[in-house]
Amino acid sequence: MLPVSYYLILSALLFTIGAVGVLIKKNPIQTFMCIELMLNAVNLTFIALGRYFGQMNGQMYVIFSLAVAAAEVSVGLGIIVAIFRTRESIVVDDANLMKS
Amino acid sequence: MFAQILFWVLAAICIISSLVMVGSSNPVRSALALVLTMLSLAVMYITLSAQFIAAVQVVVYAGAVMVLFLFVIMLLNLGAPALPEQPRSMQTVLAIALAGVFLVGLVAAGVFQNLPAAPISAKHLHGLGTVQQIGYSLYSPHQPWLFPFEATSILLLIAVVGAIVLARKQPAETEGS
Amino acid sequence: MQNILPQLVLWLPLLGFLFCAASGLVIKDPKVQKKAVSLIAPGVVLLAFVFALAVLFQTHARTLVPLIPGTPLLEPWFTRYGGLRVDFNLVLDPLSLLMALIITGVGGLIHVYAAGYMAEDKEVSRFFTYFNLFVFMMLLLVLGDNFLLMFVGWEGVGTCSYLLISFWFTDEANAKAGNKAFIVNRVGDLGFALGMMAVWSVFGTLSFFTRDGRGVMDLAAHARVLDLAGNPVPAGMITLICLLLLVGALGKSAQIPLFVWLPDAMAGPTPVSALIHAATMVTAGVVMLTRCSWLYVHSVTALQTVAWVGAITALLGALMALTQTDIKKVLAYSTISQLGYMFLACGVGDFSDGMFHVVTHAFFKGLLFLGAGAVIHSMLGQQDMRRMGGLKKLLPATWGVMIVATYSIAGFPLLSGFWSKDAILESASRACFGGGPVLYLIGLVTAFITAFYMNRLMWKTFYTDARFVNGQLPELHHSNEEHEHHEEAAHGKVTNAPASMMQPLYILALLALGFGWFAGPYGPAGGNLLKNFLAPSVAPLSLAGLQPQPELFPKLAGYLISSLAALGGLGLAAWLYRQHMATGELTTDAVKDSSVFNRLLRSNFGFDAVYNMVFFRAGGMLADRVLWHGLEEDVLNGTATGAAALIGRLSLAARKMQTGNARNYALVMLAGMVTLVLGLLVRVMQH
Repeated sequence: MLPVSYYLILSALLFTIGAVGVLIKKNPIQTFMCIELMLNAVNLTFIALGRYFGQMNGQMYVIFSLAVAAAEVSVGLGIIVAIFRTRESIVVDDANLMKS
Repeated sequence: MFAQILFWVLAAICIISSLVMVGSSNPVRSALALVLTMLSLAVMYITLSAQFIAAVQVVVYAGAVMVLFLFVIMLLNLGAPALPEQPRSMQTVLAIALAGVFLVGLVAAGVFQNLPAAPISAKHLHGLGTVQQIGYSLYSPHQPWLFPFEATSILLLIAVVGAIVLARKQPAETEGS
Repeated sequence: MQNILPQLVLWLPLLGFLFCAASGLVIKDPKVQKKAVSLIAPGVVLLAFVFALAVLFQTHARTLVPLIPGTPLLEPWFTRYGGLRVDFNLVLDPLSLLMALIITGVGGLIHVYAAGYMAEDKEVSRFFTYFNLFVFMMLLLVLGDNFLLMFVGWEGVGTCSYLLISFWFTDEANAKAGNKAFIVNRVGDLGFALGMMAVWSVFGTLSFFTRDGRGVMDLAAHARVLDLAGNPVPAGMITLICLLLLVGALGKSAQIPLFVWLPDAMAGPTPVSALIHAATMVTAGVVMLTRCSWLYVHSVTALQTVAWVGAITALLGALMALTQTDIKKVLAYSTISQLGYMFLACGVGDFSDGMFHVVTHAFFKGLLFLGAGAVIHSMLGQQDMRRMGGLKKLLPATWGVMIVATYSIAGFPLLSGFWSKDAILESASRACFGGGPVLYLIGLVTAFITAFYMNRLMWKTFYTDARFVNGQLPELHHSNEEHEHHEEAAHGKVTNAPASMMQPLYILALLALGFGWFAGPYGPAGGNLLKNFLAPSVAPLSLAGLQPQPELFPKLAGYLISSLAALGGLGLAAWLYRQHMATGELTTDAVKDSSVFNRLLRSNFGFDAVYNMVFFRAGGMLADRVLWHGLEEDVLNGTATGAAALIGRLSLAARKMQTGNARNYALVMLAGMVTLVLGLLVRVMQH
């Protein structure tokens, strides 16, 4: 097996790319995809370290992370559809009601 | 040697396809690039003796989740790149700069951690990542995962209900308009 | 049973107070309420007096020789606060019993008198509420077995005094007089509180006496004073304690330099002046000195201070009484002067004669005030002696009791005041720390002046020609007019006070006549009844190895000299005023105004002016210029508004951060993550 650092660095790279994507994309669907990418990057870390220590725990975390991601995607896409239906636009910057 | 080559190839595919995903202004292209990333990650999971996870990755992520994405894109007719990105806004510059610092920090931490290669060889893994092991871990009363597993099933149920509630047309809204 | 009686004495006035305070709620008809209060309030005090008498006759076969310390009531009362433990204990010894008898006895008589005096007032129930509370507080003061209980009573009587001085508070002068009394007493009370703390830190206890002999006075009742832990107490600390407590006594007993509140306190109703500002409360200082006599005898410095303060106060008080025209103010200065005598007695270590004078003074001064009150009552609120005169024919009964009281306070031979004053003079002449002859001389001169100004009062009021025509008052006195407004005012006639007011006067007159002989050196049962009675409560000078100096002259010569002084003063006044029967004035106003001495006396030797200058002018200036305009407006307000403005400006800047744009918030989250990662990196690098 390769040194675990390789996997960690790859994971860090993917995570950073995902984070940048979240910050610069205006299309919420793409923002969502970037979030999925970040989750995958973390999953890679779990599995690599689980293999490294020869334990199941890392993989178990990944299973739960998968479940959470699936739930999040279903709800998140539901929200996007609902927003689109009410505002006829899904540009993230248009949704700024949080400003008083 | 083979494993090394495989890693580098998979890593390259991962990084390039994720960059494409972020860089593309077409959501469909982004989605397909993400599928590619996930598939290469799935292969990487197999080399890390996580066969079950690899299968789930393909089925759930590359399959179900990405189909859902594409479905929403098609439903809302977002296929065309109708949103011109504003180049070099303050937000973009700051985001890339911060992300750079973040990456350097993470990589530096990983390198300085300086972990030795594989303290446990493949022989001593005792079927790590097999379905049997996963099943044992999830349902054995001696393992701590049974309760989280049940809780997750409730979470998924709530998510399903939430998604239905959100996607349903509001009666008041339709009548009002 | 033995413990119940003294408790009844203490709690009965409190019950009366509660009843008076609640009477308005219970009884709806104001007339019935007035009647009930006028019956109950004097009733409880007289009942308490009966119980106090019962205690006197019952306790220990009438000898009362052993101290009977600590009648535990609620134990522990004020528990272990930072190691401090103070129990609600009463001390029942000759001193507290004597004071309880005076407070309830004289107090009861004055209550009866007040019921008549205040009958026309609208707020009788409020008056008796305060009056009964005062009696309770005063009893607590004398019966409390520790400094803290005494302090509670001490402050309690001060509060009641304040409330009663400004009883007719709608008149601003009365309210101001109450404030003055209260504020001047703060100074003294601070001294008392500091003294109490000093006692605590030195002795480790606040109790006077305890059953196991571990109270302060128990500890001090030895030639060498040890504290609770058995270490010797330095003499300097005892002196400090005594001087601090003395400051408290100076305030309460209106001694120089804190006497200025007492003349103004005459703004209250006359029964208040009689009970609080003559008979009881102002003697609290003397009681406290006597209670702490065990400490005082260990400090010659403190004794000397007490003696000289007393002597000087006696002389100056008598001098200031000379020029007063308000009948009550004459008596107020006279009270200050007589209290000076008591301090002088305590200062030379003759505490029991000090208490003797407290008792006789309570009788004759209470009588004088009540008589003056009867005069004022009959004159429809007139207090100015320049508008009186010729009242002997109109008010013969009042004149009769007043003449007894006057001769008694003047020291007319064989009357009460004569015995107690002479005992003090004799002790003063033998002061253990030297200077006896000077103290004696001051006392003697004071006695002469006392006789003079008292007879001046009598002549101005009763003998000289009436300065109002045929019972018709020329004009009503301005102050208190609307308060002491009586039905007879319509007739404008001088009328005698009602019988209920006069009867207490007769009883007091009897006591002022005979008590001195009864308790004095030539009384029944071998003489010196009071001295022997008090002996267990009072520290002997010999405790600290002090010895009085030899006598200046034999006892009989002393009696003769003080008799001559009294007769001389009385005679001189009579002789002078006989020549000015028409006006009642020895000289004209112009002559008076041109006399420096006269002006000095009328201005209280400038004490008020100095206090005004130092505390009101300079203090007001300090408060206005430095504290208000300087400190508060510039520094404090500036800081506050500056801080507010700074925060406001920062908030304006910070408000821009809230864009409402989700991606901006995500960026901030990333920044947080970066910080975490950098922190992680630092930790990794350290290993």
